[in-house]
Amino acid sequence: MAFLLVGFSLSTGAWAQRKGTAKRTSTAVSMRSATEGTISVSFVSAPDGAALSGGNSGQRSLNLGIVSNASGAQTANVQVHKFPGRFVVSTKFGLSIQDGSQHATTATVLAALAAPDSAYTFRLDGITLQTAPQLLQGQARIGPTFMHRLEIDVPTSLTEKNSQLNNAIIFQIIPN
Amino acid sequence: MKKLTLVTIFAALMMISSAAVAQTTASGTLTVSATVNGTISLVFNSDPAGVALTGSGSNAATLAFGTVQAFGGVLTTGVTRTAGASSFTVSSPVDIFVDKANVASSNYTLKAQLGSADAVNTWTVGGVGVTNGPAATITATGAYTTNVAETIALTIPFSTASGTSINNSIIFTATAN
Repeated sequence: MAFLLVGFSLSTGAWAQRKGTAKRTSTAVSMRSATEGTISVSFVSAPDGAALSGGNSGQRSLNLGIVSNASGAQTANVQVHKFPGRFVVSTKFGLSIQDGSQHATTATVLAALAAPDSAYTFRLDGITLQTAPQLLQGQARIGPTFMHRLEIDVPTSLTEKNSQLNNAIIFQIIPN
Repeated sequence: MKKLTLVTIFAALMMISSAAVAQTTASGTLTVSATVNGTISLVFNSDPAGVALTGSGSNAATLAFGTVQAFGGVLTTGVTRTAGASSFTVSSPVDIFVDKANVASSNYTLKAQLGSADAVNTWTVGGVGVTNGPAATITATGAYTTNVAETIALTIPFSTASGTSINNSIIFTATAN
């Protein structure tokens, strides 16, 4: 396993350096083809969480709506908790992992922010997210849907200039 | 020849590793969005020199002057009394705390008005008369995140019959400048 991952790293780097050539395009197609029918991840709305929308099961959107320190949240199943100097917006969502090959029973789940965010702090299950992948679960069972809590710290010092919160959380699943 | 061999090995490594990784990893993306609205909030706090409020720390507190009279007697702790020629005034400072979040405003305007008409007694907040007509401006430059003491005063004519109950509400509105 370790050898293959190292190999992936090498090949990805080579592709990035030369992706303008026809040869590299062929390699990319090979990667896509191999991905199909194997392990995958999907997001679902939690019964007590905000509704997910759009995209396919592995590419969903979570709109928390309008939130404020004084008035809380206007979207169902979105909570706001006030603290000195900040408030925390939170909700839950479900994540499940499927393995078409049925080779693995557990997987490692990593999560990262798609873009750096100096205004807001994102936490998943208490783990602060960064652009570098963070370990969310080391032994996530494949098959069942597990609920996760997303929390976002909103400093009250932010003003209208930073009123729009937009980011994405990228999950990486590695079977154990 | 050596170069060709290296390229061949590298290409093979790419194919093997790519396929292997594709089988062993997956990724998903959850896009997250929200709109943060700026807000301000107002709460009443008991002033150390005034009457202890019921509901202190909330935006719906009660200031009970208790039993008052023009002369003599025992006043509720925190009540100050002054007697005039034809009326007497009881007063107490009340702390008003206005907090802000996610707004660039540097101060606020505080207005007050009576909840119901009072043709007999006179009410003031911070020395400004308040009625149930248009809200009176108490301050146009209120400071955020600090207790601002405003004295609430009630002036009662001597002609008021003994045992008369006086009840009213004062509606405060803070607006971010």
